[in-house]
Amino acid sequence: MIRVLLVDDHEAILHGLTGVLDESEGFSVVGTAGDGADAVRLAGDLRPDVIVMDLSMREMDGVSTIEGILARDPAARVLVLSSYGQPSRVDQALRAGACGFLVKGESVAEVRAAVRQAHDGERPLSKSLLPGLRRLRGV
Amino acid sequence: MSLGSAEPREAHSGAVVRTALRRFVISSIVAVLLLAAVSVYAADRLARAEALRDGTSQAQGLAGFVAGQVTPSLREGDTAAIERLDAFIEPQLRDGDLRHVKVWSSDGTVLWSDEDGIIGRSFTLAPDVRDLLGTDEVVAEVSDVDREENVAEQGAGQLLEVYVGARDGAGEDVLVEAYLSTEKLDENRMALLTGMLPLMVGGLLLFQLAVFPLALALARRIERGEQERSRLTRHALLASDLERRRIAQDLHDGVIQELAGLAYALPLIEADGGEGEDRNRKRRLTLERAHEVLLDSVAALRRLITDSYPPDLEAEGLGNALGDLASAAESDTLTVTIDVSANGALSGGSARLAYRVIREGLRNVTRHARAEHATIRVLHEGPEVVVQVEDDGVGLAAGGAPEGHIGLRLLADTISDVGGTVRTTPAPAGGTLLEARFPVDAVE
Repeated sequence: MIRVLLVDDHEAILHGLTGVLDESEGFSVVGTAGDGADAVRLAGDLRPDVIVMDLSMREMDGVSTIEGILARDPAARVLVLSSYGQPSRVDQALRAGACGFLVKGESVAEVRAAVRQAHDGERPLSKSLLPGLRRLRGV
Repeated sequence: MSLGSAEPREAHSGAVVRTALRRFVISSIVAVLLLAAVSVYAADRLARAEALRDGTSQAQGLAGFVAGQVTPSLREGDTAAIERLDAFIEPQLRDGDLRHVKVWSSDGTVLWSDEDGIIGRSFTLAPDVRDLLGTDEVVAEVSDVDREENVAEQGAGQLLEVYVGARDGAGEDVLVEAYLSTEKLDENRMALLTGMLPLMVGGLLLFQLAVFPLALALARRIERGEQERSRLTRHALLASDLERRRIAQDLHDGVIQELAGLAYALPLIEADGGEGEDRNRKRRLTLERAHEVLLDSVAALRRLITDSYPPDLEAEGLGNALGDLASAAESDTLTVTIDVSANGALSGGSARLAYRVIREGLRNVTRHARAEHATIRVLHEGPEVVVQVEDDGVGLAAGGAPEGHIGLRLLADTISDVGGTVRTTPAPAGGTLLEARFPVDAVE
């Protein structure tokens, strides 16, 4: 069972993803957070296997949240799920320590697969992000 | 806190003024030089004309006497006759402007000259000179005296050459040719230049000095106009950019999130486990949630359209439009009260400004103030409209947001352009008071 913490300041996203993962075999949503500060606290308290979090949040931005989570638990697996897929933002999140990056709009199956990959130590990335990221990194 | 400009006021570069002054000075110098050149040319023409007139008069007086001394014996080379004429001319050659004299016969033979070596020689007379024969008319010119006949005159520089038609003592047609010094011409030219040039050039310079302040004021006015146009363009671009960013932000924070959440929730209808009533209940809850999300999304998109294209205030009335704004801002945690007592007194321009102030104020209340209650007022005080958005939220220090401040500064610029002011101060209830004042007949 993969234990997941969901972090997003939009209730609709939290509601939808909680339903998706809770109803999926092998996943369990152990907590939800509506802002970065809550996410850092819950990640330390609950020690989930994977943290699925938005990058753009009020009060505390996503990059600071990733850094805060990893400061308390360097082994934490943070998978970003964001509406913004600009290469610079993706690169920033990955450099901050996120293990993967999905854009909102990926299918439920792809979200499930990405959470599983993150749990297994892989680095899932939406296919649509690859060209821009390669251009940014010059590879 | 009063709100300043949306962008730093541009330093007074003075580029337009400098360019205009440079052009003014260059064109002034060109005008002075042109006028000086024209003056020199005109002085030369006038001096030449006067010298020719004087020379002609002198030559005519001389010709009458000289021609009378030409007798048949002189024509035949009588030395005594020649010496008599020499004796008459010699003092005049010594003391006056007269340099040389010749007497020509009608066939081009030199009958007499102060230069003995040329007497008796024949030359071809120019047509205009030959035409003087049988008349008492005159041809005069300033000559370089480089013709064949100018044996004595060559090398003397320019001379005033005058031909006069006359009759000799025997009634034969002759031509008397007198060469006069051009010193008088030079004197005349100098006298004219020294009299005319300072007057004309000085007059022009005085005129340019007189119009200089006018040109300077005009250049400064043009520069101010250009700076104002440039500021308005930057203001419009900044406002447009801010509006686009707001739309993107609104879409990201609202509709996109709602629809993305819906996309994750809808498959649950198919996947929801359980049996019978429990499964139906889950499906019903998901569908109800999807329904709410869709309605919220439609409402959010409508708000976006209203923000992008403000309503026709003259048709709908400011009160109705503010009612729509208030409804869009209200939520489970925020109520809005409207007090519009100045509605009838507002011009179309001031109503639009009031709408923009309140839209910006409510936007900041919903985004940053964390208020429970907001009051919007549009009041008429003397010649001014007073527009207020007051909330009971966290106040200026805690609720500050750079993005919102840019919007307020743009608004302040717009209000300032119509002679009004915008300021934000702590509200009595502990929140923030945004207040704009501008003329009741303001035109955007």
